[in-house]
Amino acid sequence: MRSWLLLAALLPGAAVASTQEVSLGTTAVVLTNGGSYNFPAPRLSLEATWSREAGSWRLGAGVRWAPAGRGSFPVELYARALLSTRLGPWRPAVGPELGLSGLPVIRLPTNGLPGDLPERQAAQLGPAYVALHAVPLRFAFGRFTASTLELQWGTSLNRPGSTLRLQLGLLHLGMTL
Amino acid sequence: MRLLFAALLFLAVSSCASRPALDEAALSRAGDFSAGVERARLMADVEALVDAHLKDTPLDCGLFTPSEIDTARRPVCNLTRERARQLVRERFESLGYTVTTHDVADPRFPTSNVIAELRGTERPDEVVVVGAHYDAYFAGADDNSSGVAAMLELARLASGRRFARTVRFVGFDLEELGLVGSTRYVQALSSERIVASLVFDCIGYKDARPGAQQGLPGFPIPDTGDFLAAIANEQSGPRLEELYTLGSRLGSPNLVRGVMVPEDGTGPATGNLMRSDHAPFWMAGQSALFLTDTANFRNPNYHKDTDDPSTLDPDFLADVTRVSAAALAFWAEGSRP
Repeated sequence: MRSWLLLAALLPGAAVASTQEVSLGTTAVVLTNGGSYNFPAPRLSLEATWSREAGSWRLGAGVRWAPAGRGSFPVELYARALLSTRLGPWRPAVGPELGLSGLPVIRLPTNGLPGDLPERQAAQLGPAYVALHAVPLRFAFGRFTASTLELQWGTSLNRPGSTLRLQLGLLHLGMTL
Repeated sequence: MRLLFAALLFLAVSSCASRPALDEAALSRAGDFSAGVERARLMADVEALVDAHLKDTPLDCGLFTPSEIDTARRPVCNLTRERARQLVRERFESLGYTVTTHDVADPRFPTSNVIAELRGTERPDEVVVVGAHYDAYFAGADDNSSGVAAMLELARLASGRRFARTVRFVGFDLEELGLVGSTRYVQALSSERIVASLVFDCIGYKDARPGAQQGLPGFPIPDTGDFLAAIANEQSGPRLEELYTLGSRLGSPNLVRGVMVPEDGTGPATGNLMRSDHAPFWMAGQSALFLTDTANFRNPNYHKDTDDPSTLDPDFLADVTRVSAAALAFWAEGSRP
């Protein structure tokens, strides 16, 4: 870890100002409507993101896959625009993310109880979501980037506020092209 | 528009921001109507409903996978409804109502909501709904024979009277298994305008000792369990304020404590406020007011075989029913002979 910090200190401003980056990472997402029929445990996912700089903005798009995310198509597609700044190797960013999620919020009962209400609730929720995405700990080391503890707070787009989306980015590693 | 990133609740606990000035003539009529509530009848109905549940045959336990259900919270193998449904139906009929049912022939969980209606004399397309679920675990005195008894008492008082708006009493089926009857009922609603709904669920338990009332997470409520919680969404917010004012004007100033949640009331922070038959009304954008003694947040007998009539407070149940009767008369614009 110390060698990383030393490298970062030696290379401030020398980080390649490339306009494009690809990154891979892992996240944990919680989706809930506060009812009984939810998935309480965070769902782990892998994600791949492409982004490019446009002035102070970092525009990107990506795909998130939750292998154990339930649902028939546990994949999310998203686009985001993050306002970013540079302080040496530190590259914090924050901005909105819009996406389509195949991760179900509502868990239909499997214990024999009737599913009328959860089915109704699920039918009212669309796949689109909006979120605020914060990247407080992203660093650039030459061509490479590393980010951890990315935070996201969002809700479904067709009924804003009816669901809560919380996401924690565990680790993302990227490379400028 | 709903606040996007906060499911914070706007509370109006006992201090509704605006207290509507009620028309004195309407208030007088509402007061006269509510004065007819009889405590002894209420308790007799609770006893009769409890007796019906205890003599009934529970739902087939084979419908469920008990090992995957928290049976302490949901004792699904002790749920009864048939005899209580029959009692509600016969009572409505004895009061002179034409009774209909809203039936859904589900192969595993068929439901039958029992409906009695008094057609409005001036604006029949505007409806005031009074509802309570009649299924129960064990004896089900508080949950929900208390609510059904209040509904039957209101039906008794309304029988033979005239209201400008339509008054509809609905006994909901299978609330305990996930608001099944009310969900199906709301899905089948026509385009009529529901101007107000009162949903009773657990309204007979009182414990005024400090510490008896547990707090709902995030809600600053008193620690004495001696109030009626009236829970509204924005659509039913004005009805909450009117209920509160009616309670104050009719001699029960500290009875009603109101909670209002933003927009349609659904959301991640409102799970505990969506646990009864008002929830499907909220989800459909309809006005509904949920009246409760807060169930397991106050009553230690909740969903247990100890939920029997001796644990109820008849005066509290009568007070709740009186305020509700006044609200019904006020909203339905009656009653007149």
